[in-house]
Amino acid sequence: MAGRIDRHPILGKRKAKEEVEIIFNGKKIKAEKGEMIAAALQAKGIRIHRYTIKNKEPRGVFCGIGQCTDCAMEVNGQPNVRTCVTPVEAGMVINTQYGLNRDGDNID
Amino acid sequence: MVIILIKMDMVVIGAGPAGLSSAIEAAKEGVDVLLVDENIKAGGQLFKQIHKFFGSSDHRAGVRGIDIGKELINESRKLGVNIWLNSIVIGLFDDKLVLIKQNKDGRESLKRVQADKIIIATGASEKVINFTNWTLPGVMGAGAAQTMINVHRVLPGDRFLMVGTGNVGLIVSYQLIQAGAEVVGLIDAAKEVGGYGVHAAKIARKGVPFYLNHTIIKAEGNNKDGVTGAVIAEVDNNWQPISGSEKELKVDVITLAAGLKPLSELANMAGCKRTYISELGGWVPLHNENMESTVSGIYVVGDVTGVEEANTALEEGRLAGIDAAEKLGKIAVKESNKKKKSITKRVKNLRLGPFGENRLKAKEKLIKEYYEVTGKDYRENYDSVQAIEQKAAEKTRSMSVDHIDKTQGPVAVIECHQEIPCNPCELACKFGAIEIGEPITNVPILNEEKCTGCGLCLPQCPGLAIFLIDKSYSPDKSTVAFPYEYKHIPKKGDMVDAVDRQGNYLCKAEVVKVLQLEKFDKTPIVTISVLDKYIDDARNIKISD
Ligand SMILES: Cc1cc2nc3c(=O)[nH]c(=O)nc-3n(C[C@H](O)[C@H](O)[C@H](O)COP(=O)(O)OP(=O)(O)OC[C@H]3O[C@@H](n4cnc5c(N)ncnc54)[C@H](O)[C@@H]3O)c2cc1C
Ligand code: SF4
Ligand code: SF4
Ligand code: FES
Repeated sequence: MAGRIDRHPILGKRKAKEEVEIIFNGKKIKAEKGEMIAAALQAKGIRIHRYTIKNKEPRGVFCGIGQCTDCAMEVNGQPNVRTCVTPVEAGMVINTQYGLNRDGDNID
Repeated sequence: MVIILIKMDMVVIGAGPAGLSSAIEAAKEGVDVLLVDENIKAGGQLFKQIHKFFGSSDHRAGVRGIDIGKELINESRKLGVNIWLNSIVIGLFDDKLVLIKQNKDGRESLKRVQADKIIIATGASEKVINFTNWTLPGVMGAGAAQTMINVHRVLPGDRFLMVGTGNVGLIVSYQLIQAGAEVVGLIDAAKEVGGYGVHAAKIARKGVPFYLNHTIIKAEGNNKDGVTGAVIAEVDNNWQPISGSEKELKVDVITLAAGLKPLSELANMAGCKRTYISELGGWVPLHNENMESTVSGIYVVGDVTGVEEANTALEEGRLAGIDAAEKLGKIAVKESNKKKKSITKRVKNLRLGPFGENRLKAKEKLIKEYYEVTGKDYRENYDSVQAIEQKAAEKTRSMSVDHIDKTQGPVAVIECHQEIPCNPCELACKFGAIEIGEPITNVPILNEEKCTGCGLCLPQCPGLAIFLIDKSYSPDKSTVAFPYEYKHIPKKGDMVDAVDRQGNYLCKAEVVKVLQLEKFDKTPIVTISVLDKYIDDARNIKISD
């Protein structure tokens, strides 16, 4: 089932990690301390990270290793943060990015 | 801002198997090494590979990729290699100046390092394929899915379509199933599976369909949910979709495993000459037999010089590490030559067989071009790279086990019929019953006289391709034992469904033994009993979760 993998034949049982709260589009969600933002969102079934400027097409995790920038979001007010390689921090504010930032009022 | 200049004997860019092994070999000879990697963890590709690696004992075959990575990192630390993580090389100049952007606790800084020797071990990146809606969230690289499940432990969906049947597609599909996903199918435009038969057999036994001669036409979905399905179609001889053959699959993730492309931009920036070789994944830097590029003192090793395997990456790294140490005067030429010669022989053996042949020829071409471009004389200090004769392998085999007698007791059956560079089974057998010999690409041959039926080879085989058959179990029943690496391990006495090599239901079976030893490294061995008439075909079980 999509979401966190609690039991795994090779990796074993998932160890309980310290939780932190992050704020996604204004809603509080729980994440594991130190995990990547993209992983925390995916664990909650969130996979749309941003919409492109011109065609307003959605983008999500594509390479998972910081190379493609598809997973960019607005983090603590800063746009274009690659969420697949940026760890969560307690109280982090994460917003879907529209165009260059979440208000979508940026130029191309 | 003043950026101080740090001087080192050697800088290695990329801490995958190739970079780590070159750092280790050089450090062993007393070279001061700085190893730089952009990730928060060293290990490159290895740190998401949770399967037992194929290859030879020299390359830690039979050991899981993540564990190989940990061993290499420990060894390099012990030898005093400086490792900078979170550090990306953004510039490389031909006076061997390396420009590094380092990220420490969210703060970025620039570092300049000058070194006598530079080793480029940047690996490769995933190739992308385009189709309608390929940018929808839910379409991702196979490597991204693998990172999600094995590193972050989050499954990015429920039902997956894998595009591509090379080893990456096969292995990631297997790992997705292990993580609890349903793999709805694998597609490939080619008419045959690209990767190793043993890896394909593992997922086929799970009942996963292979759509060969098929391509993906489009991803279905919308701007709110991302992918909700995929349309695939059969292709004709020119790989063009045949209209009317479209099929819709209900999936929420489409993973792309269309091959890898060497990350050779830094080499290019430093002035290393490159050439395009499709068998190696694209643009690759030329190099000589010691992995030195056309810029003296700059070496290129691993997937960046042609996408291959961790085994070959390790060996190329070692070669470069030793040669650089030699040129730095840290090791005597005679001793260095001896070492390089034995590595060259090993790496050549890894490139034999139908899967390695093209890469062997391509690598030969790279070296030849290096000498043409540099105008240097090819010094034959050791054998040129040439294929050595191979033992003819039995290509097709019957899958029946008729040859085993009802009174015989347990005996191994090896379902590994392709020439692949792999031999842990040979080493696992303490009775000398399995022979591969040299080259390592030989197909394993079982000497039944010597096989005691101990079963120790089963968990050692990374292809999960060895079974233990015992026809003497009861007058009308036989047992088959197989490795079983899934979440729900059955218990002795359970009644389960026995399935064949394609995952089709055969009959009910009783679990008669489950063996889970420390030394099996998380590969339990399950033994089931079935009526004699099913023993040719029963090769896996199905347990409803
Ligand atoms: C699914 C899968 C299964 C595999 N299974 C096997 C197997 O069973 N057996 C086997 O032998 N091989 C296997 N392989 C292949 C093997 O993992 C690779 O061939 C091997 O890792 C290549 O090693 P490398 O050191 O060249 O590159 P990599 O392991 O890719 O390492 C390169 C490193 O360099 C870093 N880097 C790149 N550019 C920069 C830069 N500018 N600055 C800083 N750092 C940089 C990268 O981030 C990376 O960490 C598998 C591969 C995959 C994807
Ligand atoms: S079952 Fe035992 S004796 Fe037979 S091949 Fe395997 S390891 Fe050797
Ligand atoms: S049978 Fe031997 S050669 Fe074949 S995959 Fe298993 S260990 Fe490798
Ligand atoms: S998914 Fe490509 S950069 Fe994050």
